[in-house]
Amino acid sequence: MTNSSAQLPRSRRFVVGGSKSPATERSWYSYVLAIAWILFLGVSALFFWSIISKSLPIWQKQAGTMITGTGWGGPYGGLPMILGTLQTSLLALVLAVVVGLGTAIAIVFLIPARLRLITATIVELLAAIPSIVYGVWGLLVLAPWMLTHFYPFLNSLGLTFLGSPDLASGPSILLASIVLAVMILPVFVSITREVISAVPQDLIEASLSLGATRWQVIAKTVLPTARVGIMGAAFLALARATGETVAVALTIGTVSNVQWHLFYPGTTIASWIATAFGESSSVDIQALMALGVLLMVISLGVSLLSRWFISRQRKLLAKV
Amino acid sequence: MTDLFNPVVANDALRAEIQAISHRGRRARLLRSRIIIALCVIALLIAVIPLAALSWEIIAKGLPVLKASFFTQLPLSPNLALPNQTGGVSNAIIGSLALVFYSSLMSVPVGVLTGIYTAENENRTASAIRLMAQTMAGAPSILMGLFAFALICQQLGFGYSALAGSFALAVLMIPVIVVATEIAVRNVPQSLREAGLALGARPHTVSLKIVLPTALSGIVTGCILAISRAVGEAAPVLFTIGGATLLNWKPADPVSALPISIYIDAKSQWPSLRAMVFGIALVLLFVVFIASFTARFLVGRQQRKS
Repeated sequence: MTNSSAQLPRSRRFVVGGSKSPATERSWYSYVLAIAWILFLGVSALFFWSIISKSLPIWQKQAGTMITGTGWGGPYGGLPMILGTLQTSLLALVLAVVVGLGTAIAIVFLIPARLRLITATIVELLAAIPSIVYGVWGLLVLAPWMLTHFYPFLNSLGLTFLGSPDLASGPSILLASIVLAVMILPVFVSITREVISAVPQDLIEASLSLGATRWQVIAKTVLPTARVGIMGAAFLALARATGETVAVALTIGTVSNVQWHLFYPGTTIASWIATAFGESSSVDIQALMALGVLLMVISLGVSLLSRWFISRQRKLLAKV
Repeated sequence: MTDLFNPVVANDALRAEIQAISHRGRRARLLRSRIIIALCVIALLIAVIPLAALSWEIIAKGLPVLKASFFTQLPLSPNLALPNQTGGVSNAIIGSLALVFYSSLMSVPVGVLTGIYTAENENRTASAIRLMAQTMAGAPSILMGLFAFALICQQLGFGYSALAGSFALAVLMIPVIVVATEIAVRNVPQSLREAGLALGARPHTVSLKIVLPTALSGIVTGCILAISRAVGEAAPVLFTIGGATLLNWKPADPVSALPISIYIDAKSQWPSLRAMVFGIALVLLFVVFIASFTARFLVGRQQRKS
């Protein structure tokens, strides 16, 4: 054996201190990889640049009206769209967090282990359903039902400030918010579930050993430990809600006015772009691009926040 | 040792007192715990109701629509004489297939190679790519439509075309593929790479013949998920593909797509067209679920292997 190993041909590549180490050696392969990532970075940069540059004329002429104005045509006002986006996505977030927190807790701590995998799978399947399918369900199934049952029910609870069911017509801010809530629920639940199950078992057992009930363990140990991560999940869901287009375009009615009565139609930035684009002149399109910039700022800001929260949760758990 | 750690010295009175303190409010605490736990289970049920309702409605109303003519005929518009004349969606099926094909052709090579680069390099470029991929993955899909419209339809003068739509979809898919590929390549054990290098293989040989085959199922999973997202997305193609009632498929032709047919028909005044929407939605759900299960199966197989 020693003889044969001595007879191995000496390769340049094995010379200690050779001028070319394998890791930095230039080959056709590294050029192929470079072409790919340069393409990716180039297209991504072009993505931001082209939307921003197309909207520049609007920002130069009437940046103030774009944010605070209400009309669409002469000067372009984006206030109804901005407020509508905030209304629908925040309302959807509240609904999704209330139901989703309970769901995540139930999946991790309360239901039998056999059911856990099935429930988690179902929740993830919900996330894979195309948004247009949610929109169709909202418009053709949920809207008629809400008109005849849910709006009168809410009115009978004394919530008359939401509007009157007699004046409502299917599409509404409330309907869009509920459809959005159903859509972002899986996003929120799957991340919250991960964050909650990453809480160290030691902490839970310590809490149990002090005589805490199951709810006390959850409320005083699990949720405080997972707090930052849950915030991250909420912001990720919010980012998804602000950018959602077709499901909202089908269910909100896209009427450009500031509307506080949730039974009546409103609009959001994304759904306004989708509906107004068809019959737009080239100046209209500049204004829509300006709305696109606003949407970009809102939703990228929210998703950056969410990523910051989630990475802080990771560091926090690494310390525990 | 203090008395605290030595309960033997506690007399019966003290022990009773300790017990009383620990039992104080126990019943109330338990009751509260059970009520809130019940609320959590109710929340779980509320979360499952939409899925059940949605799948039930789509299947029950969609199945009757799915006849042979649904898949083979071009769409027809109903009129007063023939209110139930809807035709089929063959144009949208062909259009969706063409869009998926072209967008995969654009996004899979770029996405996979970029993902390999970020996984195997630890430098400033790699972290810039990573940041960009995460940012793009979070960008609203309607913006991809605006981008493709501005660049392909207007700047490059292609107008409404399959090319513009598939470009928008590719921009949407690339970040998904980059992130999935990076994770899959990173999961390949370092020892495999070192074994290859120790045998004298060049880095690109190791990457192509050892790392890629090992990471392949993860990469394929990422691509499947990206494609299934692209099939269902309406926003990026809404004002880039033009919509055609012909069997168009060439890159420069305007085409139609399944989500767009849903979007248009759902707002129609004709009940027959609104009924057909459930059929198209069922087809989309079917495609997405098949893709999701395939991805899940591949992930499971990979986990069993390693």
